[in-house]
Amino acid sequence: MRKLLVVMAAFAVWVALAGADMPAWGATDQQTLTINATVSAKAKLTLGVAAVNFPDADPDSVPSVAAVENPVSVTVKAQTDGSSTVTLTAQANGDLDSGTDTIDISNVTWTATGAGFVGGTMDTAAQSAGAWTGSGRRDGTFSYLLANSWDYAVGNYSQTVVYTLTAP
Amino acid sequence: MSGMRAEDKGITGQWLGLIRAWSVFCRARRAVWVCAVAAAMGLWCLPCAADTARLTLGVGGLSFPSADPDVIPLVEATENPVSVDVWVRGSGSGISNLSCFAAGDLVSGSAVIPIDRVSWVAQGNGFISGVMSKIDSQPVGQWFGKNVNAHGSLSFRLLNSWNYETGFYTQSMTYTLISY
Repeated sequence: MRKLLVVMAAFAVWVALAGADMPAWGATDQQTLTINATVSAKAKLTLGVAAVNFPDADPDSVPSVAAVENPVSVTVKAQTDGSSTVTLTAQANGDLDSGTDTIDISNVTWTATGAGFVGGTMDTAAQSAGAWTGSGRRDGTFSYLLANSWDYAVGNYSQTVVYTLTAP
Repeated sequence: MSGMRAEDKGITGQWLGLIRAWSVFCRARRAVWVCAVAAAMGLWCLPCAADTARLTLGVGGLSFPSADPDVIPLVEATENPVSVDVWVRGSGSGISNLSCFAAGDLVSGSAVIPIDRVSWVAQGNGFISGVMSKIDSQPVGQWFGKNVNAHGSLSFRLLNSWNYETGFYTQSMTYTLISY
């Protein structure tokens, strides 16, 4: 009996000294939640202006007429596969027209700034204006030039150019 | 025993052996009884475990649909809000904690969306809003009291970006309820 009392007393002292360091048990429960996310291919093209204008100029003084709106900002956004190529093209719907007078569309060229953006010459066939690999946002500019000539008939010339951005 | 006959010595030796064995048994039984009493005291003195802890999530999976990052910069999960029920009985220390831990980033083949792009907004007493992590468990709720009966909801969001590659991403999260 005395031994039992000794054991009980020793244990009580141990409990008092251990205090908060004593191991705590806990009831537990767990649940699993699965998260899924879908990312589909997307392409978005933004041009800083909807039209560019080439003013009248002396062909001797200004052999290459810059558009009033230069430089025109261009923003390309795409979500695609990591190894896929995102492409931007420009295609004119015809020559510059003023009634029956025309100025060959190939007299309009552009220069480009920004990674992946490329300059070129307008054409009725699609021309490359930029290419990139994978998803992301790319910003650049286009500056348009019209080769001037004394051979142009007077008039207000116009034509549309379609820019196409493709993200496979 | 020196004057005893051999057969008497044998019989007496057997009785002595039995007496010794019985003595050992009695001492052992006493020791067992002392240990049992001490163990019972330990059970009484140690912080008591909760009798029961139960966690219930309203869904087993979440889905974030594809969206234009310019239009929807923060994509809501289709299943929002997700109900969460926490039920505890007999918490000795009166503390119950709910946490979550991601097994990794959102993965689609070799493409990855960092898991910390997923966050949640919590509703309900004791529930905590936060951001997913694959590094540390994140608190989702905490309650005090011997018994807990908490009902709340979690609304999950995915930060959208033009930098994400196309794909079907997935990952699992573990929600753990511990009551002391």
